[in-house]
Amino acid sequence: MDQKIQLLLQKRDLAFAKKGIGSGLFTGAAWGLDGVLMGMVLGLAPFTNNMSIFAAPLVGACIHDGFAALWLFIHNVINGKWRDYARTMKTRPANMIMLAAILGGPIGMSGNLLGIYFAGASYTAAITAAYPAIGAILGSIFLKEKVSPRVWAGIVLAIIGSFIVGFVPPEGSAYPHFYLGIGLAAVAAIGWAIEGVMSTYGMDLVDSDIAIGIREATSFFVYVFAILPLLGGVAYQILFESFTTPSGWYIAVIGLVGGTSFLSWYRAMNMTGVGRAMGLNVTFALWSVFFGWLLNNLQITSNLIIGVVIISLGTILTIGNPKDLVNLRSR
Amino acid sequence: MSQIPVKFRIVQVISQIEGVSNQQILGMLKIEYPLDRSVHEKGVEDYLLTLKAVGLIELTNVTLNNKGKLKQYYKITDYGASRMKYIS
Repeated sequence: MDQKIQLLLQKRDLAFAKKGIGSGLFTGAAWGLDGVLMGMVLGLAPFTNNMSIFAAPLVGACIHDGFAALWLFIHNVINGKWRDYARTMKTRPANMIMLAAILGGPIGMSGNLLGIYFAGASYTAAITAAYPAIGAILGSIFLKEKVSPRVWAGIVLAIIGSFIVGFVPPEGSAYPHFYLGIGLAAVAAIGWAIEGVMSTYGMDLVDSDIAIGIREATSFFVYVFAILPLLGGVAYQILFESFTTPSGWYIAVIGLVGGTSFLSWYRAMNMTGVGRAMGLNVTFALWSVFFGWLLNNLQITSNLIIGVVIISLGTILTIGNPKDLVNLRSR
Repeated sequence: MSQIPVKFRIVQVISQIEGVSNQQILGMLKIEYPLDRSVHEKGVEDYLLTLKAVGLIELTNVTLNNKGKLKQYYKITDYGASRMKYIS
């Protein structure tokens, strides 16, 4: 091959790697914004009437994923890809993506919310923030993904930073089922990590934009037909009431932010690998501090600043050198 | 015959015709998927890049065409061949 061709190839591969990293960074920012906005809406009626402590956030998640699925479908119609939904649904990789969706969506999210209920938000956040490390380990085992020591260091730093941002001193012995809560938080972290690895395996063949469309639709249907019935009539009551108030419609719009974030997350996992994409996604902790301050009068404390600085350092290490990214896996 | 998804079809074509070029693939897809607006030069290029990054396909040769664009020839890898069971 002559030199000109090699240069053109290198330029193209590097542009691709940088685009993947860009997607990874964007997903963190959009997810941070999504979380802050969801937190604000869940503080409004009908989510605050204390009918059920789990039902409200799970109904919120259900509406969120349902609208995200709708926006993603419209996105795929605009891009001329929508015919691939039906074709993809007949394949085995689509089944993997649906299973991944259930593990990461309803199971992961329920584990997270129940963890917060039984063990408190700070310990739950600390455990769930470890999901990129679990994802990177699973990715290196099952996908044979190359994770360099520098990227490992970056992922660990980002996790420590998220832990510091999320940490609030625990409130004594208010949690009689503390270890149950810790276990459920671990279910969430493992669920999110397996979701990433399984869906990335599926996306070797499935277009990532279709994969995330299927993922959000699956998540929505599992909430409606499996999770909400477990919560009883109160869940449907909140669901219907939310659309007689602005709250449900606010979540519909937030679903656009969440859908965009998920789209970039799946693209990033497909383009830069699971380990790195999750390391970049966990920067949502940093962005949630920023958007919390901007939109919701979050008080900036010293542990927030320390945590954010550590996350930023970890992120720089995680990105590493895009030139190393041309071949993601070692075989 | 029911069609398989576009990205699946690209892998299948590369596994059946060793050394097939990106331009040949695009030409075939345009005939097979006339209604899919996503089948265009950039769309196919993006699929090829992700398939190469995850190690399902590899380049066999690259030349420049008369418009100064890269003409890439691909073949399936052993790993890619092991995944063909998902494509029927």
